[in-house]
Amino acid sequence: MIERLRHYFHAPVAAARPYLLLKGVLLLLAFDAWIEMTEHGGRYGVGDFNVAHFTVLDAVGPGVTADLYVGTLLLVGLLSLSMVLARPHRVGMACLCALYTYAWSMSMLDSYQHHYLLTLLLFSLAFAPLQTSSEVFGRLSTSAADPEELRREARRRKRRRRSVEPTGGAAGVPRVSAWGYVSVAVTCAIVYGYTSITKMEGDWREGHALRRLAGDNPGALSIRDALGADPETFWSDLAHSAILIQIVIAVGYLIAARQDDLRRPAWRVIVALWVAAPLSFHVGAEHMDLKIGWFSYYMMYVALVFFLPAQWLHAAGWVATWPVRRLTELWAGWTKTEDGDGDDERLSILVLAVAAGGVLALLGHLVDLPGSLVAGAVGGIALVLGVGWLSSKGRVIQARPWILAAGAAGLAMWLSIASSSVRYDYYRFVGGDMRRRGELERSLEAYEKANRYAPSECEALHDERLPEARRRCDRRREEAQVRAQLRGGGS
Amino acid sequence: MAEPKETQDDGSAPGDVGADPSAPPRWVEILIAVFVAFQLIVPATYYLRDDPYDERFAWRMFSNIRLYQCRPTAFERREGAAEAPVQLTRHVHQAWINTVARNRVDVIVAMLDKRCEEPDMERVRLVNECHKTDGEELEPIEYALECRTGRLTVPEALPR
Repeated sequence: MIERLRHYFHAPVAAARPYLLLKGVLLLLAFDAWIEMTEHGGRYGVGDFNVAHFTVLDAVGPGVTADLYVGTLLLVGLLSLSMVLARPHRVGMACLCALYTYAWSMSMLDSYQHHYLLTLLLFSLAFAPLQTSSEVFGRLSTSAADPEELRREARRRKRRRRSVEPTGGAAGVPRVSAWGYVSVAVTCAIVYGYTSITKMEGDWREGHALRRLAGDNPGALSIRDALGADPETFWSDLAHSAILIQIVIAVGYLIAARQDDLRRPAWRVIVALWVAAPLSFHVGAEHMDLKIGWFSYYMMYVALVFFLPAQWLHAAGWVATWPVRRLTELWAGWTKTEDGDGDDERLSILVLAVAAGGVLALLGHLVDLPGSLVAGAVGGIALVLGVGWLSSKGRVIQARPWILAAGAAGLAMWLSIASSSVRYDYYRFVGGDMRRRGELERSLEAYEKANRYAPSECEALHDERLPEARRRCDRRREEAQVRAQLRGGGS
Repeated sequence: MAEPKETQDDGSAPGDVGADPSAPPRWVEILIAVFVAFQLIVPATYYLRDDPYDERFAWRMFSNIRLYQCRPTAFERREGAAEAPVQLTRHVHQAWINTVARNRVDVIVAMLDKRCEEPDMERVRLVNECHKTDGEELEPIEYALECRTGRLTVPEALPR
């Protein structure tokens, strides 16, 4: 039994799986933190009231404010995207897991269970192989002028060939032992398993909960009509099918984690087809507009990585990482001629890091959300300290990608926030709350800021076909009302 | 002759297992066991608790309880005055009121505590009127805090 468990967690899997899982989750997390989560930051610290998920945080943690929450999330995104663009580091993964966990656990205002799930996934992924795309998908070319590099590449190729198991499911692709990856599958199986148990309660099976959840939802009703189902039994049938599908998904994850061991092609086809279960479940959830953030996207991505055949993932990863590998090789070629071990090299890399840190702080300022300047500055300081530490160890070459990655992540943070409605939503939510609590001056200030960042769709207010946009965009009227209230109160 | 291995941080090599899969480090095996046990035990504790409304960490997304519809109403009594209803949105963010409507005892107690910090406050009370998913009305759930003595009254068993 112990041996079987040992094999289950430690036997090799296609290297593309943990690589794509890690990079994909980190990529989603970065933009989830910036675009989806920060807009609700204005509710933190309101009325000087807060209850953390864990008593210890209330006792010893700093006072929770919008600055702290938003700043933490922006840092989460910066670190996450930096590790997508550069080789992740275990210390970085541990910091990311801690920062993200602190972001949701600092207040029960965030009670999304999938945020807790992401903490578990990040914990597991911190122990996954932290490889570069070239190590997983191969180098595009070798530097012909460097015989040592050619020898290293030959050794890598030889190892890859040796690791191929012609009868296994991952035939022809490199494999790696990755218990952190397998652990993610086990976590998913536990989550779906418990969720199915939740739904086995009587009221749920009778369909009352689903009817309340989606009874008025056009998406759900369209499914009912498309199936031609009896309205009386539809919700109960749907509830039973949800239980069944969640059990199927849970079992599927436990099998899919080891699908690269399967020798019979028929089994591998079955596992590949199994992906339909999680995909249909989460597509259905999205169709029902359940207001669960990006949870469905995370779970659909994770399902694709676990259930699809290794060769497909390897091919997709090869194509997706081609530009990065090409750039990396060009960059390596450039640095080879420029690199040196002397003080000049260390000084130049430090100057570059300080400049990039300054850019991060500047981008934080441009983001114009509470805590954003501090987040940018903290990110910049962390970058300088990290680069300083690496260069003191003589690892200047390893420091360079981090400078580039952090700079690019800062730019992506600013672009994603500036081009989305994050700031508009943030400030209009704050304005509405302030108004409800009678803080009219601050409400007006927030509304003015919201209107400064109003998205272009709000220019179409007159369009009768856009009732949702009108409801969301009509902040100028709100602003005018607050002004009128202020005038009334002041006169 | 054995070839030198390029190892990853976890001891494995790209393109190959690197380390013998039958002999992972002891600490890794312990960590995996603890991590899996933790994930199995924490949600299970929900089913042993008296409070059915605190569904955190139990993977009970969109459960029946989560979908109960509750309307919280708060009342306060100041020194020398009669009990009067309180408009909670004047004091805390609407999101906290939504949490109170889900019968989160920790939040309700903290909110009562917070109101008791007001000068001359004698007693604070919060009542949640809830409907189950099938529309059935539950007995009102009442929480109260005596500000002077700190005596807290919460239902012995929360209805479900």
